Amino acid sequence: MMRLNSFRPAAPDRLRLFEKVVARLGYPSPSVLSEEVRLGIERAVDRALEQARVESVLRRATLVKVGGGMIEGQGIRIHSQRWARVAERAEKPAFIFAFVVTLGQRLDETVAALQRDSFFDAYLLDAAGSELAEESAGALEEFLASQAAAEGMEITARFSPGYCDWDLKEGQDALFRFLDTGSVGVRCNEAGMMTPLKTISGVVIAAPRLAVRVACSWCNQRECLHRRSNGLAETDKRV
Amino acid sequence: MKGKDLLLALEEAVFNRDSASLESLLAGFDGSDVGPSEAIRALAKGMDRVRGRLRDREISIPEFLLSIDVFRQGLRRIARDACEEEPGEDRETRTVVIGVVEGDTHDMGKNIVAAVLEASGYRVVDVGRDVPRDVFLSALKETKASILALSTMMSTPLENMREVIQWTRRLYPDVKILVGGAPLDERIAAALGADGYAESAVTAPEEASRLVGKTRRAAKAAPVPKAG
Repeated sequence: MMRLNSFRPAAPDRLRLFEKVVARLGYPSPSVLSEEVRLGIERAVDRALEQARVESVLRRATLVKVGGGMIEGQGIRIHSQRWARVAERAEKPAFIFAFVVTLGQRLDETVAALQRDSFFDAYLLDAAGSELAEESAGALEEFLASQAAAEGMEITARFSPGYCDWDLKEGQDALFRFLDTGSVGVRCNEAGMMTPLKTISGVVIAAPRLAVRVACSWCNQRECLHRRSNGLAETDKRV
Repeated sequence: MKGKDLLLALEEAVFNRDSASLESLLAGFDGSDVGPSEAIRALAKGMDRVRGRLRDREISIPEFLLSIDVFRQGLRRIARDACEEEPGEDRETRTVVIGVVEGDTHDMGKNIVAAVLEASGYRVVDVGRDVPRDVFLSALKETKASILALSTMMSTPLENMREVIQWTRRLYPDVKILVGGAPLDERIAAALGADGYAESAVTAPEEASRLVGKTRRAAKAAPVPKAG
């Protein structure tokens, strides 16, 4: 078991983030936005990029047992029938990476302060923060893929407590016991909710060869926004 | 601008999410020509129309929020310049205690619902987020509210919500309980013991009115604004 250096992704492209926020808000394209909404989203994207302090904590655990609805690494257990199946189908699953990535407290404080005078600006900044957190977790996932590739490994898509059949509270407890989340100022309450709010926790499984990257084959929730097919996203949402 | 023209213009300012126009209309407002309650009623009418447009998907949520912001701007201005508090004949029966249950600090949805309920004539007592059971119960006792509105965006605090509902039933059986939030739907709301479920800020006023057995009215806004 070893601790990796924490990873700090480069800021995403502003226009890319703008388009992601537009899509998150349910608009089919930026061309349908009214002027006031377009300007509001631009302002929100700029604020999010300015105020986010992206930090992460990572840790790797060698796998010791997979099966029976559980993935067990040194120091961490994941109880999920579906993700255990993903690991079982992999060729010699070797380790997992666990992570927490956060945008920091300042963005939360700004969203709260904006609500006093403008729900509009607060709502858009909240959306921009959510999308930036997803982008940051995506960049972290790519970094983990490159780390694994250097050892001849592939990784699954990232998955988080509360998704699929991984219980939120139990999953967060496992991750927060395993990771030094205090070093990046992230806490988790009794309900499994993390603060700062724009924080994503999760794991990926690494193996020399994966049969599948996601657990969707064993799930009947056809309408799930995070559903993927053959390891590729059916929507633009990530697992 | 005076009288009915002013009232119509106030309504239009909210409807058109025109903050500058509202500011101009209320410059020097002292309640001597048009009363504070009339002015607030006009703002609320604008909000009611905007809610209809959102319900009909003619506008998006951000545009709806811009109108709420203009409405709140008007409330603050009127309260500051012309009105301390207005007693309403049925105000006590229209008080809502609202909060996010313990375990969750996501409160933007709750704050928006609170503003919309206020715009629809309810006196709203916002007890905040991550609120323990006893704080809700104390607020119900102190305010004699007729509605308790509970929210959470996560599934894990639903047990806390159930507990608040059960104790409210036990101690204040006349209080109607309205719930909302991402993990809820009508079926889950009923299973938790709630009287009603609000899918969004758009439907919250109608659902609240249904619970207290009144037809919806657009224009009886409480004059003291909430600041977020």
